[in-house]
Amino acid sequence: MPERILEVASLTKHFGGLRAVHLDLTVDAGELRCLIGPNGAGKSTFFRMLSGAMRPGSGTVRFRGRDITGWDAFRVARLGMSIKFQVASVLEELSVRDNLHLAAEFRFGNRAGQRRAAAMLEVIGLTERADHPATWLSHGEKQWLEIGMASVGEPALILLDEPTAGMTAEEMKKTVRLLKRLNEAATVIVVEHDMNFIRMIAGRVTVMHQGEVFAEGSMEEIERNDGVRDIYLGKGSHYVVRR
Amino acid sequence: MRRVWSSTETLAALLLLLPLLAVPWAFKPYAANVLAVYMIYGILALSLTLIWGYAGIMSFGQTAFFGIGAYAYGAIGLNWINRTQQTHAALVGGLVAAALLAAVVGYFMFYGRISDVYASIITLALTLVLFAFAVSTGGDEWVIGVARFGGFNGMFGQGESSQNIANFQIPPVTVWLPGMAEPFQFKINRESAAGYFLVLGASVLVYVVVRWLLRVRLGRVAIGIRENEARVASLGYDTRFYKFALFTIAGAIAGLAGILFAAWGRFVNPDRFGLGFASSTVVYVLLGGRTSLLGGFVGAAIIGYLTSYLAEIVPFATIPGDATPWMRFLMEAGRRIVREAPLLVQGAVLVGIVLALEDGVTPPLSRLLTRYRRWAWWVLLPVVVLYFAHRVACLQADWCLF
Amino acid sequence: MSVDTAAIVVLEIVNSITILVLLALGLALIFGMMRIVNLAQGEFFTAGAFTVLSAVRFGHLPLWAGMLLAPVVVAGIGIVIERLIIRRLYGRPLDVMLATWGVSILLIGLITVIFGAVTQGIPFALGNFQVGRYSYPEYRIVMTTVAAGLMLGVSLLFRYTAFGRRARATIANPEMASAAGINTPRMFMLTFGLGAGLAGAAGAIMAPIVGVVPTMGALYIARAFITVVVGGPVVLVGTLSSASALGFIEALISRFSLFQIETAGHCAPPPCAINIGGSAFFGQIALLIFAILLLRLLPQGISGFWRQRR
Repeated sequence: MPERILEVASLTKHFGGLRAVHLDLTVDAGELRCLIGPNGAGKSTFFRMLSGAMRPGSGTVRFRGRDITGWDAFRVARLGMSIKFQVASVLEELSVRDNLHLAAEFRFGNRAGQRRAAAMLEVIGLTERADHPATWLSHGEKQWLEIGMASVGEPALILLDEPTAGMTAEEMKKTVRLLKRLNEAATVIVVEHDMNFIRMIAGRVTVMHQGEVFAEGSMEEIERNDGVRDIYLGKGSHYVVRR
Repeated sequence: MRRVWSSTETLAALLLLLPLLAVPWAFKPYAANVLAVYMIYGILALSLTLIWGYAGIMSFGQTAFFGIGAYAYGAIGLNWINRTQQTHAALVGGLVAAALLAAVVGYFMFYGRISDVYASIITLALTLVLFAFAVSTGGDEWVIGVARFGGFNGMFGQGESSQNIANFQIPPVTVWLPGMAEPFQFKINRESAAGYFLVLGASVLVYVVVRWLLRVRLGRVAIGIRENEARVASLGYDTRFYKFALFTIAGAIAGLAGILFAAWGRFVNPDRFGLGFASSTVVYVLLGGRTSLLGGFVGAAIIGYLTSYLAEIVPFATIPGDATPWMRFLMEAGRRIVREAPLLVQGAVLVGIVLALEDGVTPPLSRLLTRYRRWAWWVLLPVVVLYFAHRVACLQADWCLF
Repeated sequence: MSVDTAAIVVLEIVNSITILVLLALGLALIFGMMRIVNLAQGEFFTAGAFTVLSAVRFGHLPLWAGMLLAPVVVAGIGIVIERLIIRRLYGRPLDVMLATWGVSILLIGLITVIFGAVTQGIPFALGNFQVGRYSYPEYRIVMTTVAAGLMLGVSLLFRYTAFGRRARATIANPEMASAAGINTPRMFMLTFGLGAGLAGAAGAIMAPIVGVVPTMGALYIARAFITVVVGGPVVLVGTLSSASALGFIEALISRFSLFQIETAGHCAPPPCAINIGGSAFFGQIALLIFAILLLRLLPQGISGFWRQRR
């Protein structure tokens, strides 16, 4: 029986009177988990609460056996959880190398951090652009840099919020290869919209709807599920329109 | 590595440093005296550049730390100079006082998760409260040992016996290290330019230290915080601590500038906490360029020169008796406008730079220098060196060509 | 403490709260609602005082007429500044702060050019009334009444008028408001003008009890900002509650000496001692320290704390 790396119990967040998230979820170590759901299903809010960027209203989050509910972002990161936000948030005026170095340094120190940053540049294929300011990168390149920053510190769990948004098909294939490679060392949770991407990843899928877990299973099971189809295409589609 | 010595940076350093080193011999002591205070303001501005330009925290409080440094140096120096003949303790005390105040304020601001805008407001309030404090210390009871706060009039020392009260000034920086026959005072006058070189040395030292700070982890994280604080926190950095540390260091640098100021003028008064001084510091940095470490020095020199130039003009000193009422009104208005010109210029610079010229003047200047580097090496640098060599020869040995 | 002393202390607390409310009300609109850090707010206050001064001295108007004129004039100045400068900088909070600081310095310079740098007084006819052994200025009661009236007026304006509804909609969500047909730039302009006018009114009301001098705004701006920051996001309730808390502390520390520190100065007559507490200055220090402590405990301000609790 694999170790449970993440256990989320009745995690709740309200915005005004609206309940944005009410969630129970467990993830095993080594998994590559996909989180899907229509816009407004609460995926990004859930990620923000996990990573400490937002305080949960109630409920508990256990990570690597410790209760991290309401911890500051930096403490969560030090315990080995890293995140790529939905909006690309690389440090625009620092060079690509410095971005990675900063992400590696707190874990490995200055020198070793430099070596790891250089190695990560290879992995994400940005060696040639190492000394450009991050603001010069294309959209896809920024996404890879973010993925690199999220993984260079060798975290136990990587959260990726829409890593392929706005990518070409070619770039997306490269990202899939990158993700699989990351998954060899770490547990990964990916939020995505693109079904092709989810199929290529072929991990376990959790469907979120209106802040709750709606269904869970392999991609085939999910695609056969009528309820899920309703959320995306049929009866539930008013939700997408209204946002 | 051969390119290091020919880089723009080396060039800029030579263009600035060579003339500055020659100033005491090339001009009258007045010039050294004025340049010293510009450099002191430049150090103060550099502390603001560090915390604002690099960590993105706008502080109106750098002048508060400047003033605390100056007052602490003054109080300790006045008390100890007669007993020990040196001001070592005063130097340390001034630095510690400024850093300590910055640390306490920084702790409450950053660990209290006060947003950046609130932090600016709190630093502004701190400066204004200290101003109110310094002004209200005019009474006889406001003394520390022999040092009297003096309210509006500024700090001075008062002799021991109550029958025969003698007033004396804050001492200049004075060192008396083991092995020295007598104490050495850093003064700026006809005989000595030691005080000038002390300030120049401090400027170079602070510049080098800040450059280094920005290259190690502290500086990189600071820049990251300016760019995107949440991102840096999610990488595992306790951003509160980094802001706190940087704020404390910047406070200490401002305190050092304050110490040098008190020792330079042998005087400090509540104006150092005033809104006018706080705003001119921001203007120096804005004018020089928010992220340029030399910018504060450039801005201080420009504004300082402009202010003293404007102070000397008195238009329409006498209004002729036969002037028409309209002429009389216009002349009076002109006179008053010139009298308030320093304020008006500062305000206009602030508004103008925010609306039009974001970067200040230093980055465009350094771009020019980079573009015409070869020219600068072969023409500008020799011209500067020759000019100053001539000034020195002329003033020291009367070998004047023109 | 005897009854009359207690009464005076209560009156002084009320007076402190009054002054803080007057200072903070305009800023609560501009900073609390619009999130504009307007460092020229102190000079709006100054401009109000100088309007009264000119109206009385040069226009030979009665004092009350000058006081009615001041908010109108200052609101006009505020609207001009909004149109010329602040409008170009929406969405850049730090730049707004710097630009308004420039405006503040420019205004101090201009007022000095026109009126000179001397402190001037405005005479007024009200006297004192007796509270037991103490006499207390009647004008302070007038001030409290006016402050309460302004507070009530602003609250009614925003709650019950079409302007108020539109302004609140604009500030809550500019895009949505303009989609609903509201002229949002105009709403920002008017709200800013209203905030400026309230500062002008505060300056006008306080002009007779303080020295009128071009740099007077600096003395008040810090307290105004602190009150608004401590008040938090719910503008009127926040301002009133933080003014009450801070005014209470300020008045008590201003009134009562906490302890004395003996010093070795040359006092006549000796001995020399510094009273900690018991002066207006220590009241302000206490206010600042108390405010910083409060913000350490309640980062969202007082009203933010209550809103979270609900």
